[in-house]
Amino acid sequence: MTITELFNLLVPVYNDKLTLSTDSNSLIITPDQLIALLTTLKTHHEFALLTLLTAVDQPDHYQMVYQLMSIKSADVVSVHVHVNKSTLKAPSIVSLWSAANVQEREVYDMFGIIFDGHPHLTRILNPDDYTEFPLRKTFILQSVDRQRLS
Amino acid sequence: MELENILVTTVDRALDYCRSYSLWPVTFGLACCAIEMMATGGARYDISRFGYEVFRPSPRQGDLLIIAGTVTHKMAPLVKRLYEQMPSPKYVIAMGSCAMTGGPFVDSYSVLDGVDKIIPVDVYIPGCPPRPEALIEGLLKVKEMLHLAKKDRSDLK
Ligand code: SF4
Repeated sequence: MTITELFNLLVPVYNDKLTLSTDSNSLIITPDQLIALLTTLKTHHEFALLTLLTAVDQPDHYQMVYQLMSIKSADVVSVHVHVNKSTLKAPSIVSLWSAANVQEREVYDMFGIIFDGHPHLTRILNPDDYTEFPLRKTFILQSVDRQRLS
Repeated sequence: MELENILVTTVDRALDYCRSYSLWPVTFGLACCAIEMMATGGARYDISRFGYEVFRPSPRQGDLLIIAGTVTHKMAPLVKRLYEQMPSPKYVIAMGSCAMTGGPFVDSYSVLDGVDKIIPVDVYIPGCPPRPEALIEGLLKVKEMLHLAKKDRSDLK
């Protein structure tokens, strides 16, 4: 099944909350419908495997990227959510895939996106007392305090 | 009167002389350089020829800390704690450009620019990674250092 076919199948349910990306390769959903969409994909369309969870710093929003795979057909679908740069809130999908736990922590660590409903949202790769979010485009390397340990 | 067969020394120097032939490194690797450290311990390069093969699983039993790899900001406090847990006298080798200066990762948000920022280093071994021969040379440099009186050791660096 191509992404466009999947989109046509789902669009009557989500109406204008679901859109197709310009390259027709991914579904874009609003944050409030993310859990519902992923649940449908997982239970009714056999996309049971979460292969990737990451974020991209776009000029006017952070883009969450979820990539799901169907073990049966080897199809891959990627779902995007636009996260507002001032509220930084995204829904947590730990209730659907517990593997998302550490991946959401990494996205929090690198981008500062807050996942609503995450059981333990703390830094994972950087030190606990780190104050920067290094994968943001606004991050300035010189702002890291190199002397703080010596 | 001519004195023959009498050696005048201090207890410290005599003990250091003995230590220099059996340094016990702490088993501690941080990144790719640790692979070369393991190769050095293996049959082909065989540091037991020099008496340095007794890698200890606990810092409390080691007297040589080989910093073999990249020290991140997150790891730095633990490296420091390991060093502090070792009994004195203790020696530190910074192996590879990462441990010396941060190496290829120095312009990164997470890497410490040289382990000498947190603990004192006796011998630096440049390379990315240094070959086992270079690590052996570094160990022999520690030996050379131990054969000197304490006040002369800084000249060697
Ligand atoms: S110096 Fe080179 S080989 Fe050694 S840890 Fe750094 S990157 Fe790896």
